[in-house]
Amino acid sequence: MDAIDPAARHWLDAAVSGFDELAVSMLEANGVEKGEDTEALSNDQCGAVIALVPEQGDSIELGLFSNREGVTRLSRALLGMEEGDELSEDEVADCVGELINIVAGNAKGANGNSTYRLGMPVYVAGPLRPGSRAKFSGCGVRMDDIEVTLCVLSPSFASTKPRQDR
Amino acid sequence: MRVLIVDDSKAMRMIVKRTLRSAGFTGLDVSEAGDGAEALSAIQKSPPDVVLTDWNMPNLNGIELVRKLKEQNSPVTIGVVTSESSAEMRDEAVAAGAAFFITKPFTAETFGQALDGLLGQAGAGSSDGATTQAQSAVPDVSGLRTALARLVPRNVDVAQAKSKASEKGTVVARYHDADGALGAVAFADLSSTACFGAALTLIPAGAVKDAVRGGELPQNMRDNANEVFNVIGSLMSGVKLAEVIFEGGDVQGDVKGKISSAAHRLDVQVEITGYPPGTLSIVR
Repeated sequence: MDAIDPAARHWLDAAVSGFDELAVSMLEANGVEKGEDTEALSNDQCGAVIALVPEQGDSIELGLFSNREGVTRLSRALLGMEEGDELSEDEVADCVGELINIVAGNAKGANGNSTYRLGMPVYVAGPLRPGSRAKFSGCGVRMDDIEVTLCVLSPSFASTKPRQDR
Repeated sequence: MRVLIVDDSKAMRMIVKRTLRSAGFTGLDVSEAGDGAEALSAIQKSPPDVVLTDWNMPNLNGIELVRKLKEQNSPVTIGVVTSESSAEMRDEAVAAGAAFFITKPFTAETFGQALDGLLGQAGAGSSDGATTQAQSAVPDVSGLRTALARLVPRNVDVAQAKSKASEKGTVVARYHDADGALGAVAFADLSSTACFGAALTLIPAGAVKDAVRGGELPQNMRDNANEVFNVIGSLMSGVKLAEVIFEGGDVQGDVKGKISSAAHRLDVQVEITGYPPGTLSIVR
């Protein structure tokens, strides 16, 4: 049985599809290869998250993470830079934020969820700790030899207990 | 042709500029704004011909910017470049007055299709920027400074050089007149050309050293340097950039003849923040 609930799975699949399109069109890669599901990020991963806010109900967040070298290489690919070209952390944050923005926009479109609005991407410089109120669902994705984790953060109560306070 | 790129991501503004060049829209006079409010202010001061705006931005977002411009009966053509890909948002943008809608991720072909009729003739050598620049036999220091400052996303200073640039180991840009004859020449050493090429898309200065050490510019620096020489061409009357010879070596043949018999000559030192200073000479 799938450990990831159906709603999160739907978003994850759409995010992988969006990342694949991004990789081919703007990162000069041959596409991405989907890997194993994961229940947590490792301590060396950094990246960015972006909120998807519906007109009603609970928002979710989509995230894109890799290790420091991975996010730098993704940023270089986005900017059309050569391997080894230096980037500041601000530039990496800007690029990774733009990557998750594009992935989320495409995931939203692929899901037909036009009522969701995108928030502003937020760079996460260190390990992501969702806490007890958010449920983490992730899957590994490989672009060339860069290992990436795409993830969905949804309210931990959403799939089991409808909110009564609205 | 003046284009304003509006996006809160500096990286994305740079990518849009690069994609415009890749799509063949060269010689554009491109400026940038970091959000809708900044864009509105810039447009009111000096309206561009075309605005390319992101949707999802702080302060004033892209759709609000489109609506504000329409309320003001602005003649500016505005298009939305966004990761928001739903048909509803596309319809919302068009209903608000957007002339086109480009979805991220995009390619140069996407830009070509959306903008071909708006930004004039695509293709290398197009010099639409010339319509907004004063043309002369060779550019003056002030005109060159203004043109480079518009092109490069860093502070640029151009000053008259104290001595003439070397004619050894140079990169040479040939400008031809309407008859195809050599009308003007711009030349710079490899290091200076690498700096101009790197600064355009903020390729780190370390890459300039690597390129100079290897004696050859990578393709991205060549593409960018081509654009710099193209803009220099747009400042000169009656000539267009024909080719840039990156192979270096000492100037010779008709280029040497043009330099030695030049009626007009400008030698400048160019300083771009974050890059080593460079020299550039233009003769006619």
